[in-house]
Amino acid sequence: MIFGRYVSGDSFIHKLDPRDKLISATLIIIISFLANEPLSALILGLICLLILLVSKIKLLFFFRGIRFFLIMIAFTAILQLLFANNGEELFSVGPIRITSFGAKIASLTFFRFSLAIIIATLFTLTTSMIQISDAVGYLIRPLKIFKLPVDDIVLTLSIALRFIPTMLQEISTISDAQKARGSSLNSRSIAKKIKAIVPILMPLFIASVRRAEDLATAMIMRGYSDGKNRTKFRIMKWKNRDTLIILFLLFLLIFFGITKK
Amino acid sequence: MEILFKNVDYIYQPNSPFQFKALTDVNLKIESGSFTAIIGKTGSGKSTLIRHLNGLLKPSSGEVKIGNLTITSSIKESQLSDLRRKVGMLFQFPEQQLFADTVEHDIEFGPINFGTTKEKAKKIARESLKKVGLNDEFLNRSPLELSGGQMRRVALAGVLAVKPDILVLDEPTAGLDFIGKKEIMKLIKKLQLEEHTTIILVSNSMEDVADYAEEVILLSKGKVIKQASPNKIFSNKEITSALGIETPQTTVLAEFLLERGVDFKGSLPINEKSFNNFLKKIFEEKKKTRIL
Ligand SMILES: Nc1ncnc2c1ncn2[C@@H]1O[C@H](COP(=O)(O)OP(=O)(O)OP(=O)(O)O)[C@@H](O)[C@H]1O
Ligand SMILES: [Mg+2]
Repeated sequence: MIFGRYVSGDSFIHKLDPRDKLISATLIIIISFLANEPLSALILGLICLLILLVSKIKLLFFFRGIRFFLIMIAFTAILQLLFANNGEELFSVGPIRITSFGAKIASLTFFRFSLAIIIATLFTLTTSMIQISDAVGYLIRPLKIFKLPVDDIVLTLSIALRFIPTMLQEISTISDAQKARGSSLNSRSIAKKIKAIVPILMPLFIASVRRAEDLATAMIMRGYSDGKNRTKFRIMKWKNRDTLIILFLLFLLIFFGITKK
Repeated sequence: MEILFKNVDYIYQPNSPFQFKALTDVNLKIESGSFTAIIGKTGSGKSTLIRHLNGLLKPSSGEVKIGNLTITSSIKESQLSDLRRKVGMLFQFPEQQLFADTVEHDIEFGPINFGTTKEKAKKIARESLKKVGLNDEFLNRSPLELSGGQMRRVALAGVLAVKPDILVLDEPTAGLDFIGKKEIMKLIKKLQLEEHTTIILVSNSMEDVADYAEEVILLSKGKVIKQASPNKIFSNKEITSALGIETPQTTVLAEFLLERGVDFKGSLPINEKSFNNFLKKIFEEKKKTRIL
């Protein structure tokens, strides 16, 4: 599973401003819902392929990582193909009628959802947790007008993201330790499996609470009061290329929006 | 049970950008009933190596033989449960693994998983707790209210409760006070001598290694550099200084004396006992030269 992981690198995509990447990823997914005919789908598909190639992420690693999602999406699409009844009939096998309408929505489903997965995965693979939380923090800043505690939200988010790898590490050591004591985590029976989860979740939960306490103490000792008006340690630099990318995607969005049938 | 590694490689997360070869062509033999220490710098693959001893990791290539079970990359999880009962493993910072509401229930977890009855497990919990130097009062306490050292002992009791033939310990004394360290090490040595448990100890304390181990496996960058007695390892200046391995304090002190012109030939002392002999020999030499 690679969704949500980061592979460090120095490709063009890695170096883009994280705010740009977050907005662009969202835009591409929105556009994919407008692209409902072969030509626009092809253009969008090519754009994704281009991003994938430029990011220098190994293709085999990438597709193996999202294989599970792709299979699930394909499965859904096949169901739609089999059970959609309206539209003109293309051919039929026994009770199953394959119609033009079914074929169309099945291919659209497959296209849209795989594109969304590919783009979202590409985004997290090329953007570190810290950058993501910085970008989110920046983009939700306008919500301050509605008295939303934006700084606190950003702090919480960045701490949460920071500790995901630590917790994954802990899960694997704790489950190793319990397996060594004969826990039946790998047993076939579901009931046994569920029973084996408590000895893993309990220590994990305790460790998290402890860590939160320690972290809070350490932050207070170092003079943290609240997130307001703090100077930034990492500064994001928005470049012309970031503007250009957004403009290009906006153009596509409008173009597809107008030409949509 | 004898332990045998044959051409073992281990690769973490193969075929991904995170791929990392943590063990390369590891060959070793650990005798039944022996006390073997595994040493090496941080990241040298010690924890990876010991996870092969109860099948938590399976070799990417090569094979691991434990008693008459052969573990290769294709072994099934169901074939490992017997092995897990025979090989007890205390992980780095084992206080992490405590989860039950009472110390007693936590210690019983292992035995019950391996099919011991509730009553018997209760008895075993009491015995194991005694072995690690805690009295019955602790049985009904929550493991979370204990001190770090006490938690460590409870975790060890949980491993001993299964009565393993092979006991693997990953830095069991890290972060304990001097007396706590000594007690735990003595307990482990006692298990070897009295119950003939095979002991495999990962340690960063060269004093512990010199005092208690009979055999040392030196790892560097996932390769076995040398497997020999502590005496041979620590007196091999080329290897220890090239790999940045610390030598025991007594060895350092003896070297210091030699540099200052003390005359001595033979292998350097590695612990208190051999240091005493070292001093005795030096004084005997001195006496002889004075008489002449
Ligand atoms: N899940 C993993 N994925 C990739 N690499 C890993 C993983 N776990 C460990 N490694 C790498 O394998 C190497 C050996 O790790 P290992 O934990 O065996 O070292 P160690 O000798 O026990 O070190 P320490 O003394 O710090 O405990 C390290 O370089 C580590 O970065
Ligand atoms: Mg380790």
